[in-house]
Amino acid sequence: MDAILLKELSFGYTKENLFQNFSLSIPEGDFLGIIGPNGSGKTTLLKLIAGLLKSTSGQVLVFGEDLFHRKPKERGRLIGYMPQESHFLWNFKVKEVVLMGRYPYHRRFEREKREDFEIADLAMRLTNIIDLKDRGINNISTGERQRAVLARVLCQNPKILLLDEVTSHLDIGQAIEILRILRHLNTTYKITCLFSSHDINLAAMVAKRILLLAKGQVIACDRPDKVILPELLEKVYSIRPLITTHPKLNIPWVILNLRE
Amino acid sequence: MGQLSKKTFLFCSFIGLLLLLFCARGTKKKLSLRVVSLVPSITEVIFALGKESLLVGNTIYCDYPEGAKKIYKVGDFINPSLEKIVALRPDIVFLTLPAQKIIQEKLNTLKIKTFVSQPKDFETMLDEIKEIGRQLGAEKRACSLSHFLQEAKEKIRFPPIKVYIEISPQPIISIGKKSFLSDILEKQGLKNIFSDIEEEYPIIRIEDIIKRDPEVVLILHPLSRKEEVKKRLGLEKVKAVQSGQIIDEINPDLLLRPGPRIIEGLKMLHSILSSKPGHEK
Amino acid sequence: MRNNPSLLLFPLIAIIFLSLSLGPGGVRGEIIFKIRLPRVLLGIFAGGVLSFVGGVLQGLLENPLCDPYILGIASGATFGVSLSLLFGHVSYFFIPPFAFAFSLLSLFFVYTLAQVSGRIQKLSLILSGVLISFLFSSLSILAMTFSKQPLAQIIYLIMGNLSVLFSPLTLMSFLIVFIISLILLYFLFSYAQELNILSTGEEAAISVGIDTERLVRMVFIISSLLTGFVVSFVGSISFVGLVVPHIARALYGYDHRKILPASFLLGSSLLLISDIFARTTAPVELPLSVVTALFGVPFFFYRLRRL
Repeated sequence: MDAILLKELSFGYTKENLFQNFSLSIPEGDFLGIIGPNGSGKTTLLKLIAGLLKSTSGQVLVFGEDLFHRKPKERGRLIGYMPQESHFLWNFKVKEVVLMGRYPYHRRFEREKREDFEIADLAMRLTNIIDLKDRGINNISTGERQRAVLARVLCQNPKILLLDEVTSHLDIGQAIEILRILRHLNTTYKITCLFSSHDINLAAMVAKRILLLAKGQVIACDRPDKVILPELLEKVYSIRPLITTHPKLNIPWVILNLRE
Repeated sequence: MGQLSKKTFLFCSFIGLLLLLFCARGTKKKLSLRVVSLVPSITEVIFALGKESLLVGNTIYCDYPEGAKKIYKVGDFINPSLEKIVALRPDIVFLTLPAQKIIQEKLNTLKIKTFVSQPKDFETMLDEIKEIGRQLGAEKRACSLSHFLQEAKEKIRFPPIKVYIEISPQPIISIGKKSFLSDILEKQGLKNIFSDIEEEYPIIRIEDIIKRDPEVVLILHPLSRKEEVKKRLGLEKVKAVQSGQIIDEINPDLLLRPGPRIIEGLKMLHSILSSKPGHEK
Repeated sequence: MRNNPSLLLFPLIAIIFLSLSLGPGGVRGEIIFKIRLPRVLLGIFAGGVLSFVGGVLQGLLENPLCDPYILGIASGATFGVSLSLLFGHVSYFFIPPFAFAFSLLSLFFVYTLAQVSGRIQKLSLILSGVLISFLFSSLSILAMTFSKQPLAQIIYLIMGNLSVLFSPLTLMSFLIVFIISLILLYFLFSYAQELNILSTGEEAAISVGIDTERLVRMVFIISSLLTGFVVSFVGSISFVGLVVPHIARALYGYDHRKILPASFLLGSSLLLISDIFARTTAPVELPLSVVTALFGVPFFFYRLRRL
């Protein structure tokens, strides 16, 4: 069964629809990197799948069932969404923020149990912030904060992870670290991952498939070597970069050039 | 450690509460009538009747005569302290309506006797003085006081001059038909330019003053002086300003408090008006 | 740093004793029970509920400057008070239900106005709350202009005071309201974790499985009801709902499960202290809002400097 099936989705922020009868299928265990120019709908697509936006027509099926037919807490147990950046008005402790991810497993008035604390610790270890658990969420660096939010999402124990521009506020070291964690989650725990990125090369490094999006339409959705091609990139970005192969990994590598 | 001190604290609090309740029985023998006045004019009446020894509490605005200032203060006019009043164990509390409606209801709930003063004209004021006399055991004195005031008032006849009486400059407030002062002045001959307005203290516009063209302006508040009124924009053409007939020397309390001193106020007004050139006595 | 807000109960009990025994009337049974005890009950009710609701709204609307009056309910109640005094001979006991009726009306207006294509959004709630506030404040002033009652009396009633006297009937109705309020507070408290998560962002809350729309709607209605209850009985007491939750956060962190009960206890205590101050320090009884502001402003200033 497909983890996610988008059927004839239509959605727009204005009268003109961004997505019109958009369909896409994502099998379980997939690791999909979504690339495309600004305004192509990368963030919107992820939000539609997460249930943060509602389409005007069409369906989002998650493991066979309509997303909005499920109860909110059920959705919380299935899908984890990580936004591009997170601002915290109140300076909660890192561990308090991470524990919030256990919400979908609690009833009213249920306090956190030992199991919850253990899962939170595991999530913080996986994201390498366990030493920061007692610090204020606003007293740590942006990269550490992103990892804390990732830890919170992981506490939801989701089957699907949606990450929006997750590496754009991180330096290269932090970016690689996050991508390593995601790959580990995908291969070891079979979590279906969808992420959007401006950095095509980073995306190609971890993704099993790449979705090239432009103006709300699928330009290509396939293995990286079948999508990262000069003619397709030129069509979408209006530049024609050099494409070579990564010297160490067997993936396409985009080399930018100021002069054509 | 925490548990023990919590328990001790609760226990002590409980004992404390019991002690409080036991001490809370007040017993005092009552010897004479205990009176609280929440109205400055009634305080003056009580002193005029010679019964100030019965007065155990009044407001901070009760400032005449000198002795009134020394009486225990229960608060201000609108919101006197209920607790202070009750603590004095009064037999009767004098108040006025509608300003003191709230305190009246509270006293009624506590079953404390109240006397409402609401003199709409001079005659009612005299009746109230007699009633107060009855309540305080000074009937004879009250009777003679009210006779004296009645006769004194009759002797004061004003010429039919048009007067503008100002209670407040901003917003402009004058006195209307329902007001105590307007009633007296009109009955003694003076013409209040706003006596056709029902309201006790109407807010009026400067155009109305100009239209009605008073011959005399009577200032009954401490906020403006004669010179300032002369300079007010729009009033230059008014007769009173042109002839300089602006009276600001009279203490407002003399005319605005419905008490014995109203006669003093009227006499002062009369002598000022008579001493101006061009008017008959 | 104490970590258990329920310890705040002890200073509150001490303050209750102080409030019952201090006063110009001395220590007398009649005064304590008939005059001071209602003040204490009202003080606990008003201070506790306003602070609790203030804490809830600051988290819900992600705005540290929120207080319970931001939803426009208080101005509705104020208008009710002004309107009831328009015609002179209304009994003073009649005012609270009248005020409450108008707070319900303003609740209805704000709720309806805040709907944006069928959904309630935080921003539209704040905006409609402010709008309705302005509307009813203006209407109140209009009513005051034509009122037969002296202005000073209306203002005194509106500005907030605890010197409500009870007849057996009104005491009964107040106790019923108090109990209902406690139940509503408990109900709100059960959503403390949702409020925690919602205060970190609406998207975060939705993605973790919270039905934010239902939550916002419900919290708004209950908060408005509670605020309406308080304002109908004691008028608009300023600052308490705004400042106390911040004090609670300074002491206990940001978890609503700790801050909300702490706010209730702190708010009750602070209001009772303010009331003691208001009625014993000057020959005239000071308006309560003035005293709470006098206490609140320096604290806020101090917090601002630490930012």
